[in-house]
Amino acid sequence: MSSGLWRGAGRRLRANPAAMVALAVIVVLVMLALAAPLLNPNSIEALDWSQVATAPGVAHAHWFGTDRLGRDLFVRTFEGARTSLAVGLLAGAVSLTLGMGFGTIAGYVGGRADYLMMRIIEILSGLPLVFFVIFLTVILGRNGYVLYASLVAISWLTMARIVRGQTLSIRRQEFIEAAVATGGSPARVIIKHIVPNVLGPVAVYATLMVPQIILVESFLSFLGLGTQEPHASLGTLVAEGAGEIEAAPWILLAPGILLALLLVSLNVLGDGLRDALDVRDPG
Amino acid sequence: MSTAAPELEQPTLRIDGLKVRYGNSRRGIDAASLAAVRDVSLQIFPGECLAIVGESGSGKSQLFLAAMGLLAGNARIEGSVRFDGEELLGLPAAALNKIRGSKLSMVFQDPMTALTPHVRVGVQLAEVRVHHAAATWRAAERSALDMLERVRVPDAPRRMREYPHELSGGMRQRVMIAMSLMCDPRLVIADEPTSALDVTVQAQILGLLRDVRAQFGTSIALISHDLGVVAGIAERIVVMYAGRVVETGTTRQLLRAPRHPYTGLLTRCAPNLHAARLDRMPCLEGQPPSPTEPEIGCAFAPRCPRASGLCREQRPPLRRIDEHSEAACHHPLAP
Amino acid sequence: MTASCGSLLEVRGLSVEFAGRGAVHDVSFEIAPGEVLGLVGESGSGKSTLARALLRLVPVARGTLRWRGEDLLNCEGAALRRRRRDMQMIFQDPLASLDPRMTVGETLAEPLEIFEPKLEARARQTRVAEMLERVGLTPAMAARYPHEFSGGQCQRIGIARAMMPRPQLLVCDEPVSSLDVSIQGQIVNLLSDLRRHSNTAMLFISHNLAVVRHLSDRVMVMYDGRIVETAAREALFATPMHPYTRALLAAVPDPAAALH
Repeated sequence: MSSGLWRGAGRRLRANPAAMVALAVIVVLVMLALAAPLLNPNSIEALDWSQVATAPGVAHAHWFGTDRLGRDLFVRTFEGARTSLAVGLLAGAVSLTLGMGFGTIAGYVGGRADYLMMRIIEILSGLPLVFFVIFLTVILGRNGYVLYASLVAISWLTMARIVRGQTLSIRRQEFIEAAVATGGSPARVIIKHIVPNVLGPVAVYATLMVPQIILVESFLSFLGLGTQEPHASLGTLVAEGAGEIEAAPWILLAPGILLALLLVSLNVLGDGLRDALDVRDPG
Repeated sequence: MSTAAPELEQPTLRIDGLKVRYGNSRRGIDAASLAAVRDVSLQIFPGECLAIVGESGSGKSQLFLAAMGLLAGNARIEGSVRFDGEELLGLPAAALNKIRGSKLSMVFQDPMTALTPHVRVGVQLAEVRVHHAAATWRAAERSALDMLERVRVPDAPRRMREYPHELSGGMRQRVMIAMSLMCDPRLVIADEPTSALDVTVQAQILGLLRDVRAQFGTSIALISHDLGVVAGIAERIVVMYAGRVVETGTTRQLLRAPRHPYTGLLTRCAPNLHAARLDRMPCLEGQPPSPTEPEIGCAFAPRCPRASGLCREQRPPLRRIDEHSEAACHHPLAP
Repeated sequence: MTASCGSLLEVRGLSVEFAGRGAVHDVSFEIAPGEVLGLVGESGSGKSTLARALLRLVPVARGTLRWRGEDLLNCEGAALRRRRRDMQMIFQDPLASLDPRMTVGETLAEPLEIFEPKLEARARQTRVAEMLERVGLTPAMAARYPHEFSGGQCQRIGIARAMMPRPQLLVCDEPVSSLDVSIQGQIVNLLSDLRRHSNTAMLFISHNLAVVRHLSDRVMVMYDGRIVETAAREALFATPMHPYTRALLAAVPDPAAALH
């Protein structure tokens, strides 16, 4: 694939201070999230009865304080970050793949197939999220797969629409006609010509999709439908913290700030990517 | 096609030593990396048609875009552009806007992208008068209709209500020309007005420009890559190559007895059905240099059949040949 | 020439419609092996649509299309793609017809990947380098991207791509109309050389008769979707029959006349 054009985009991205700061923040957060268990001796489940709901301090290495059950918030917050990021990235990747496949085929083939595929998307878009999750939970039981399945089921729809739109605008261009005239099969034209040319805008939407997924997961967890005990996601932590906001505000603060930082950084990075990829590199 | 003695009249447009460079360098214009126009001077007198001929990349469009103040923010411009005696470079936007579109107007190459797609043709035309001449909409629309008829758009009342995409290419170009004439301009800059059109329509548009000049007495700066196209309408021609002027002269001189080898080759490239058919279609080999390349010696030397060692080392200055013409060549063609 | 005896492409009564309106009406002609047939007409005359119909890039409403005697209209899918090896196209906008995200080398290698899949990467690269030289470019250009080249160079790349599968017919849709007049001859002369070298037949489409004159054996004139005149080249230019042909000839600017 053409590295030359991505290199130009990389150069422009590096010249964008906001995007670089956002990238740095994300990298630091990810590293902290991965390293947290090594930095702090507490485990996510251990209940420290001597330090129930204590404010942040150095005693017993509870740097972010503890929650109502005496669990260390530092480790739990970063475990939450790991969960949220994992959910965001994994569900994001699956949505991206599904959306790309569906969208490029619908956009390229057009006609009847496109019509049917778009109606399917519209019907699925009409389903209310919470309802859908509850429905899946009833059928599949309470496990992590339900969460992933429902998040993917929601996100791939928008991705498919975006990809289809991009495909439609690329399809009319002369180099696609040339690829067909050269003898390319529809599969070859889609994979070798359409995908690389829509990847730019799609990559941008993908980076903006990750924070959205994290947010939806947090929302579901807030309602009790997402990540289950003893595991935590930023959403469950925020839910817990919200209940204690008067008595022990630090329980909400750490995960809340982290979640906000993560979402804002991903959005800023996404914007930066769009600006960097937008220009047809003139050299 | 006679011209009054040029020295006695004040030129409508006078460009002196114009340089246009692009780059992020703060070290001054000569350190910037891309030189679109390297040093151009020319004059256009009232009522005359001057053609500026050159290949893509010669800087001919950039020259006039700079004069009109239409270049991007990172363009560095040096030199002087005087319109009816008034310096345009450095003029504040408000003053420039009064001149642009009314006294000094431009017709662009691709009418499809130059016209606003979602506004009706009649409104776009009328807007020019409303904006510049403070006319009422009713009066402006009457002028617009009148102008469409003068540029010979058939069924003008209907066209007024149509959108640009509903018109053919030739028709759109007529609308653009009409738009440029709305405020009785002193100078119309036509940037490759026929390049996007069929040969048959091209002939009509050139005829229209000729008539417009006769009717309105406006000067025309006609930019083109095709010497054959401008021959029928321009009195004088300026030939540009790699951001510089390489030859100027009257049309007759340049077509009959060009001095610069580049002009000589260009005259052979104009498609000519009336000459005997050649097996090889005449053309220039190679490419013009890129504006990012540094200038060493004569820019045309790599493609010139007469190039010598001197040409590759020293850039030939523009030398006056006679009252009407100049050429920049160490070994000019014999007259 | 008797019908379909030895002719490469035989078209009879071809009609193409867009949104219910006719773009090409009842067109019939033949192209012999190695022959260059010029097709002249204005914008909107249907010549580009006809070109695309011949290559099955747009649907045909009526008529027959035969390639070496075989029916081309009932060919679909993989069979049609195999046929494409013999008939290739070059386009009016040289830059737009090249995938901006692929290097020149990748673009040129694609026909080989499609039609000679057993070829090794090294052999492919050699063929690409050879073709680049044949069209007047250098092998080093294979690593660069289309936007780095001028219009004339992009058109050479387009011609190289079309010639890679060694086609017997090249459909040229206004290949020089968007190029400077000084460069047009380079491309026309290149096509002339290729034709001599490989005996490739061509359908050369243009709105400018002066250009067509240098390359064609026969010329067809198209107006409003119909062929109004067909003649051998010199006959057409010397004694045009149809008034529209005469109008086209009159429209080419004559620099010599302009001086008087």
